[in-house]
Amino acid sequence: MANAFKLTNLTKTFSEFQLGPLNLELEPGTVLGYIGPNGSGKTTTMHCMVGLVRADGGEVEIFGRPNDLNKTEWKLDIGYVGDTHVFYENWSGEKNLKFLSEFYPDWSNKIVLDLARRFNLELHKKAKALSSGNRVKLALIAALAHSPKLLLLDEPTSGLDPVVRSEVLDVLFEVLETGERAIFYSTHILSDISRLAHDLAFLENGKITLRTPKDDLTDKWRKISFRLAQNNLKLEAVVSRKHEGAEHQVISSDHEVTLKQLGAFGAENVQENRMSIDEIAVQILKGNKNVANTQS
Amino acid sequence: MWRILKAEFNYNANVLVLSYFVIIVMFMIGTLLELEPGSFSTVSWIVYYFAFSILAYKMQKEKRERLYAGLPVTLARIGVTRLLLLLIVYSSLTMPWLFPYFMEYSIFHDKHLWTVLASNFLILSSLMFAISFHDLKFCPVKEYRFILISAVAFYFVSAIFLVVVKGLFADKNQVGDFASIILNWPIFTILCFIPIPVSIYPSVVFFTKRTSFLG
Repeated sequence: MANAFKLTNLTKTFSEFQLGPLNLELEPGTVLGYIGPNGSGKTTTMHCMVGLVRADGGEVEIFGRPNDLNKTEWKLDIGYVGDTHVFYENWSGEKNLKFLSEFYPDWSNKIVLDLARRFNLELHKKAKALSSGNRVKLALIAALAHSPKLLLLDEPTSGLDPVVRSEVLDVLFEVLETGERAIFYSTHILSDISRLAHDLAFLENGKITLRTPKDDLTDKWRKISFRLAQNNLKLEAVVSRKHEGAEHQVISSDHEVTLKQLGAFGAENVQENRMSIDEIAVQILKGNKNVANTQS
Repeated sequence: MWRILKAEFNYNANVLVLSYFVIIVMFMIGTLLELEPGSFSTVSWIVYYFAFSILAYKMQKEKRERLYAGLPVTLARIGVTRLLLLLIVYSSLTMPWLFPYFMEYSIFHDKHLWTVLASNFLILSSLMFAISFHDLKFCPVKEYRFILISAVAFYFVSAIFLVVVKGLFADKNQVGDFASIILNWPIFTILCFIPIPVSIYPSVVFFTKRTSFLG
């Protein structure tokens, strides 16, 4: 089966920013979390993929088909929730969805009604009267109603309250149940990703610094504290360290390697603690060189 | 394509109905006062620009191009749809008052009607040029902008030149007579019409060459 998407040497240059070259792909049935600080190029990547922005170079394939703007088939496979939610503002949510439904053969009003109920969204309200959170919900319904094989979600839960955010994540889990659909999920709300994503790609200054299975990160990264008189240790896989006298605390991107070395140095009172995805991501986005060693 | 057109007409029904109403009222007043078609045409320009400004403002504000670009519709079709929207709205605004004039006056005997027709073609072509200029802001091919500006400049400078020459030299020398013939005869109306079909293809090409549809 073809990749859900494949980016090959994708580039886009603005006056003060260059995205790429990006090489990234996603298997059907999986979720890729796309993590990066503001301005790192997450939204531009999405724009290039859906054709809202034309890339300067490289290729984008959606289920084996190039995202040719003069062809339409590949767009039927995509559900996109972007950074801006565009509607006919003086139309109700219902009328906006009816307009969209005319373009998608697989559109399901059953899905629309079900999601509107779960998201507690009043579809009779005009788009311009919806709060930012409700606009996100409407955009999500629009993206999901034609059962796309690939969901491209650009910070979809920003502006949502915790209850609806949880409901959205539940819906996305259901989307994955068939095993044929994939989700590319850009965010900096890492708690969402920690529930949903199989893989994580970290983007910084337009470049992917790391692509790794999420479980590898949580398995390998540890906060390690120990007692050792020596201060100028050269420890492998350590990305951050601080010490007060003989008390040390380090963050390791591969705790087994670090612990082995500490054993050799004769460190005492060694304690290791698991780290959350949020904590790990912060360290990775700080750009420590050792992180590169963990790339799969 | 038709689905987008249908949606736009449906969505902008209020503005369009109001414009038709104003046009028809103006036409009735013009008829009662027995105004020449030319004078009515001048006043109606204001309504056209008013109506199109509102439509363009709403489309811009609500990022309609972004909405369209996300749909499973080819860019070429979207480009054609935009022009069709313009042509249909324009024609439908013009016909209610232009048609009765054509019924009442014979186009073969009344030069005013040719002038009215020519002025409407000029308005329409200027609106089409405006769309193309908007597209070229997002187009990386600088040559396109140069070509369009040159074509528009040549077109309007020629028209102004003819009007000036006619004003200064009509019935005085051959150049003035030539300008007079071109400006008064159906040939001027045809010259005003030509940019409309000619600019359709470039307009669609400019749209499809855009690098951004974020609105």
